[in-house]
Amino acid sequence: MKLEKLLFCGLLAWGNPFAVSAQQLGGADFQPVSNSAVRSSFVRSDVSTAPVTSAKSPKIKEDFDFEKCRKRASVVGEDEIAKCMSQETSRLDQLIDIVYDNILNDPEFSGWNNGGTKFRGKLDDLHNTWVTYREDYCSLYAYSLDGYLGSNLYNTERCRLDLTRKHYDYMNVLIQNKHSTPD
Amino acid sequence: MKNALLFSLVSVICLYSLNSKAAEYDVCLSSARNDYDIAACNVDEATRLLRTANSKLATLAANPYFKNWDNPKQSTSQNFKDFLDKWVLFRDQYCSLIGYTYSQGQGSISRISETKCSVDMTKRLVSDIDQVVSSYNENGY
Repeated sequence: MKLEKLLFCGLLAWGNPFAVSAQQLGGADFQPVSNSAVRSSFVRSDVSTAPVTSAKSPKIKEDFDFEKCRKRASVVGEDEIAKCMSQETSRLDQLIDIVYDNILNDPEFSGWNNGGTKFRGKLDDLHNTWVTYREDYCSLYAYSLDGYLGSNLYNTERCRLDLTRKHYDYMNVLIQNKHSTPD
Repeated sequence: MKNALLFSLVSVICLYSLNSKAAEYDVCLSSARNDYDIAACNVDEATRLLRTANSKLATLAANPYFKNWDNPKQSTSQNFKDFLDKWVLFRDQYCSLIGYTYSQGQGSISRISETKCSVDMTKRLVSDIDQVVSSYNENGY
């Protein structure tokens, strides 16, 4: 390898060897829009405070406040914080279920869900494959940190919450796209 | 420690390769003559990124530390292959739906949206895998 290539690699390694910007990879990144903008246009505006029940997850207290829970738990320990994160993930899972239900019940999405064009699939499959990825990835992520930084439970729950937040945003992108489609 | 150094070296080489290949994507996009050409550039880029993800996972699978991750009844490489296969299923479903939301699957905008989604999702997967590599390296095994 030529000297300049070695120097180039060295400079990259000196900074963040894993950081690759969207610019470097070409084109603008696919960014989800803000939740509030989407909620106001499609998802019921009261979903964040309304008691939510779902067959897929247990009922969550309607006034669950993640930040308060985390503050209280931080004086106890990280496994206690992990419990707060787990509850917050469950709450978001239920909000995601509502987005899925809205898509499922929207006639304009039925073409995808039931076939009819080359773009087709099943919402259940989408949900199941995502949940599988989240659990697999977070298991791998926590394993990579095992015995080093934080408990396995804490690292797993932190990862699950992070991915679930992102997925909630990505699902809302679907709704926003649909509403931006000209009639 | 030796493994961590090896990981860092492989990652730096991958990054160098990634930068030069990403430039090819830019060239492809700038020379595209129509929407179908753009979609084709996106497909090529998503394929390239998936190969990068696959290669990073193969490096993890070759590391003895990850031998006991997931299912010990099957080989480590099979565990990682399953992981990637399942993610691809998710990506394809999600991006198909993204494509559909534009004009209900009709027209070239749907195809461009679907393929661009595929590029960005795969980019994020690579970033997720990098997070694992980075955590492992910091772990100091």
